[in-house]
Amino acid sequence: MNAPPIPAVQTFGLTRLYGSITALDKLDLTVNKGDLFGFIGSNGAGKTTTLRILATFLAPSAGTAQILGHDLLREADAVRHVIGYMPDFFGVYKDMEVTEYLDFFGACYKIPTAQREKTVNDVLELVGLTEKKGALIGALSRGMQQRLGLARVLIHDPQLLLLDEPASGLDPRARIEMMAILQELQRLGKTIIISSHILSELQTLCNRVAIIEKGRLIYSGPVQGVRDQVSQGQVVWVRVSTEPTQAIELLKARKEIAEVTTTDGEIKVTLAGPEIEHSIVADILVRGGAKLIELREDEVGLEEVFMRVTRGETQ
Amino acid sequence: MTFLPIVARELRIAARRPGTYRVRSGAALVLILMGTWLYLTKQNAPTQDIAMGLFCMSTGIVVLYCLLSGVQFTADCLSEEKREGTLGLLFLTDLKGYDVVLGKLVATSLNGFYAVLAVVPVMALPLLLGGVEPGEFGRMAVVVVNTLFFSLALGMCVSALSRSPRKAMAMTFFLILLLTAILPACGAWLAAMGKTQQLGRAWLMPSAGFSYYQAFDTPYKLGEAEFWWSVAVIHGLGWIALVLAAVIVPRSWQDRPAGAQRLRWRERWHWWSFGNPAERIEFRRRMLDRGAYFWLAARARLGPAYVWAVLGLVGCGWVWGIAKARRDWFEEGTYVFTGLLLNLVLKVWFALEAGKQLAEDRRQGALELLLSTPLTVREILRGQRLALERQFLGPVMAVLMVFFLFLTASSSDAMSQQNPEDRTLWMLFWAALMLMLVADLAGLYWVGMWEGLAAKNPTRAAATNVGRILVLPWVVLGVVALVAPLMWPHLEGVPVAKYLLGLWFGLGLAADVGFGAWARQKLLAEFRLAATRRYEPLLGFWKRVLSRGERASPAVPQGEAPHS
Repeated sequence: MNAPPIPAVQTFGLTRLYGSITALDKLDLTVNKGDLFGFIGSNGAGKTTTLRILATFLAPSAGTAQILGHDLLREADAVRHVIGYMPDFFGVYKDMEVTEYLDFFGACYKIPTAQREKTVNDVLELVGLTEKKGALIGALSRGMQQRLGLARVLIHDPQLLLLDEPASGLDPRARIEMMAILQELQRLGKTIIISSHILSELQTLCNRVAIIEKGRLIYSGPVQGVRDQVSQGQVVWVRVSTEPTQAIELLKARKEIAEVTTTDGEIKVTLAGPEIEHSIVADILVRGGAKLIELREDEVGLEEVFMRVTRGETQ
Repeated sequence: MTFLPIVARELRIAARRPGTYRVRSGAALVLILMGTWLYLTKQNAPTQDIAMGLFCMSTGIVVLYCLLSGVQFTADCLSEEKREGTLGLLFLTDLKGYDVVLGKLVATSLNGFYAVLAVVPVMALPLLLGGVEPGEFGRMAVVVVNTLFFSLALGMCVSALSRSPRKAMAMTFFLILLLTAILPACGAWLAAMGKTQQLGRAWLMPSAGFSYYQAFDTPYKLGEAEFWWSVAVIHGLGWIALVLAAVIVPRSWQDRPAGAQRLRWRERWHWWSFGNPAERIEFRRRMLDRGAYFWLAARARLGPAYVWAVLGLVGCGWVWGIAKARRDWFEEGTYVFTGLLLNLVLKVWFALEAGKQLAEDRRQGALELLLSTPLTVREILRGQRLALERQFLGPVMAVLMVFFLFLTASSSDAMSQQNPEDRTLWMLFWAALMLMLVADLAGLYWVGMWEGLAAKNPTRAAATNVGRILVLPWVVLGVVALVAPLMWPHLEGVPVAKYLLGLWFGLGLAADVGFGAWARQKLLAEFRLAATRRYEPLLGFWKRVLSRGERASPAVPQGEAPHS
């Protein structure tokens, strides 16, 4: 029998106090290898503190974590070798050239001199900055500086990336490009934890999310899972080519259907329980003689999920 | 509408600052202590003499404090807002230049004004003792307030033009020095030449020192108009500086695109400082192989050249002196002046550089990146040490060599004009100076690094470093020199130079070893913890003292993992 795979990150009661303020309250979190994991929360919820602790920059007040099998407290050096951390605001040494900056961080990660030049060129190509390798960092746009930050994170080929708001302050094009790079990195087998406020993008990008509020974990799991939790009963939207009244009566007559309403010519059908198949709606209508044009599931967006599961409380 | 809205904002900020309250009690306390000392040492003198001594001392200190207030309080007030990007936000509203300048002036002058207010009653004590006229006291009060206004206004004007805190403070200090000392020196020189007596007097007018001197009864009676003219000129200069600041500020907060000429110069300067691409790559590889942080701290390849250039200037001064004075140049006065100058320049420069890189890294958030890499604390400290060695080792060795030559010269019949019995003392002096240079640099290295990590900004880090290692021993020495005649009156008439030299050496060494060891221990044990403190709420002084042992931040785990 195979042993269960080691998770990329597992925290055990991670707690962090700032004076009398509890920034992080007994956080238990698991991120699997290969996940593109969205970390969601209001300002001051504890996202940045969590990432700083996982990056070994802050010490937890209590609890610990395992990063790719290494204990955060006892094997910090080993942890630093396998993670790449990009804070929300990071110093970029504006008087350095792009290559100098990456070469320096390559040396910080003890990459041999002979190998550094190739590594720098590779990461620059990956983030699309090859043409800017001789430019001064101070002369780069915000989007390019963020890409440079990502290149720095990748310089030692870490298995786990901790990215704190990597798309903040970027224009739509730069943001889309950044997300494409992250998807490519996930394809290359990296585990990525990304905190962001742009939930619509996390929704399509991430396979798993965690929602945190006032330092406490509210939800952690697949994106669909939280949607299912939030949607009270399953909802299906229906359009028919004939008068909707007939269709509504057909649906209301069945016990599998909890509620039927109309909005702008569309019929909103709420099923009586999660175990009921959506196809039953089509079956009822077709058998009843209604001409079905469209049937779609109700999609609860991550933003709506976030608004419903959190109370907007900050510390 | 609120009149001068910035004043309200700044006063609110000042009210929350503990320094606002400490300064006034501190200033009065210092003056009371010094006054008490003077009173006790001159107990047998006539009351009038004691009163005049007290008055001269207290007013002298207060005028000096007022004169330097601009450097301390206003020189970096507008430039700081420029750097933080908050000045621009003010000018996006309806605020005018004078709103900002006057608001800042009120806020920044608060500490200085409170200090002056607190010491005025102490200054008035000689009035009760007799020997000081009410008019004299009144004029001195005018001089004090006028000097404070002038210094703050000058600092404000320089701040409106600057962006860098160090340049702003240095320029303000230079301007104050120019008006207060250099111009009167020129005037005195011209007067001594006996050609332009009137011009020499006119050059004295902008000097706060001159108005201070003229405020005393005897000079005032000889030249009443000169006192008032001097006060008026200084006051006028203050207003001119303020108006200039109000005009400059709205025009200087935006980043302007550099012109082609400026860009060319900037590029040349970059090449000159860092070398051409091939040189840079070679230089970088060589240094990164010795340590990543070493390259970061020492990448301006011309760093050592600047130190050598300053030593070269001193050398040029010597060449000029020998050509001019020939054999008379070789005497203890020249040696001591040169030795102290070299000593001071090297130590202060070293103190500025010691924590600069760490403070900058911390300020711009780069330290967070560095500490999430496998770079260890010891590697960072070693990198900084190598960078300082690269910049200063050669010059320090050269200076030590020069000191050794002075030591040899002091012991030689041909090069010294001292009595043979004094020569031993001189040789001890040079030996102590050499040892202290090395010890001070070691102390400055450790304290500078720690302060770079813990202080609010690079300027404060350097100031604290200089204060602890270089200034504090002198202050203690001064206090001992003041107190000693009271404690041991039988020592009067005993030659104390040897004891003072020994005391200076002992105090300096104690400061180096004490503060150095403390800073080293802090760096090795709390480096990572200190780096994260910027994210923690600051506790007040009394809360820190009372909650000692139950820190808000977590205890540091042992070894390198994860926060050592």
